[in-house]
Amino acid sequence: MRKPAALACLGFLLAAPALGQKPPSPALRDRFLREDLALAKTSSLYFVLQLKSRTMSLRAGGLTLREWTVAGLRAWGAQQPFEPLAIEKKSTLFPPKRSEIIPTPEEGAETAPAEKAAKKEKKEKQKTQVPELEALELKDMPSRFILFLSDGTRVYLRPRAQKFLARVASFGHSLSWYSWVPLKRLWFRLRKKPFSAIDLKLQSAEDCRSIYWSLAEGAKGLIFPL
Amino acid sequence: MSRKKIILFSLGISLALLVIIEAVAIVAALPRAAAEPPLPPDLARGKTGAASLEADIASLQKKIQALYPRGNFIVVDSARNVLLLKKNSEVIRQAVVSCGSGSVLEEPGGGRKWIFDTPRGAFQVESKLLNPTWVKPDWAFIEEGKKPPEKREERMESGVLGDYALGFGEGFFIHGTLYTRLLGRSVTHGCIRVGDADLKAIYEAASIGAKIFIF
Repeated sequence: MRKPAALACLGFLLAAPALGQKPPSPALRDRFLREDLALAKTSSLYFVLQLKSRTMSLRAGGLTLREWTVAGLRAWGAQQPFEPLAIEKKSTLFPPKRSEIIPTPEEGAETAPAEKAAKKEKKEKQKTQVPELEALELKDMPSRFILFLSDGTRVYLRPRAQKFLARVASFGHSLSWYSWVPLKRLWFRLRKKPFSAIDLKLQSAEDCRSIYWSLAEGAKGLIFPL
Repeated sequence: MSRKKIILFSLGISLALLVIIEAVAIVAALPRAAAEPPLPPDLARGKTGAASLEADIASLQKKIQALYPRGNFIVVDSARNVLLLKKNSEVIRQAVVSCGSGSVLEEPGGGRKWIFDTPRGAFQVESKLLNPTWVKPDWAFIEEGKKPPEKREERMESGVLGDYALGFGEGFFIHGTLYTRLLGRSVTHGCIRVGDADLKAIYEAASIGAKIFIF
């Protein structure tokens, strides 16, 4: 007798979160589609962060070009407004650097002997080695960064921690998230400046790098509790 | 009171104050329950019921779907250097490509500056060229340490863009390449380089006006 009752209780507990999750209201869906349509009519890329379904997508012309699953999400502060938000700044500890092309002087032009020797040496090296590309590629993008949005929201992005050191860093981030970020928000509130924060944990470092690559400063997007 | 006691007392007070401030900050920062957005003005003015809202949602979904490309279209993932030729949600062909290197070139003497990124966003095929000739822009000469010529004929270079080219605006093309071993790497000046067989398939499938999405 006790077993079926315990099983029923367990079943209810497991189903409770799903039962408690209300479908989004028609007013919310309507507003989201209106804003989505407005952005889809432009020729720019835009992002859509859906908080309840925990997905972040990159869209253009209403078409979803890429979608990322959010593995973990937490927030502080007020809800984001139901309107497009622009990325004002992308901030990271080690921003990727563009390489500068140094124009090679025309053959036959007057060059110093030392310069000529350096050139010859470089050419010899190039013959024997696979050339190192001076290009900005996905692997050069950071996997931990912050997006500063126009309404005062800061979106912290980082990958799910898998190795020991990453777990330690993740613990440090959580410590700061629960102590420093609320204090920062209080400070902003006292100065009557908007501040809210969203912390997104992505499945992998490559997902984070792709988002950094795809979202340029100035790009617009929507954050909806859908 | 001894000096030690005063220090301990001050530390205790400071700690208690810090805990109180932190608690206040946490309570103040707790996310609020999601508020409902106001009804759109056109719906708020007239009939309001749930049925009208649902009808509006259906109409908006239709409007978004109407923006989806009809026929064949191209999606380029510049981060992974992959091009997808698609029809509706079906991928017809997948190709490894080369996109912009992201490098910077500055004209000696502090003149013009170029950033070699592949543009991102929604574009469309504006021109289709067979056996294209490259009209070398100024940066191509400056990069080689040469002075850009004034005569257009001196800028012409044939055989470097492959057999076909699809222009998508502002001098950017999807074209062939002599450097096939670099496909899959970001090495171009902003154009999208494709291997010969893939280029032929893309050229044949994408008509003028076909959408190109680059991200």
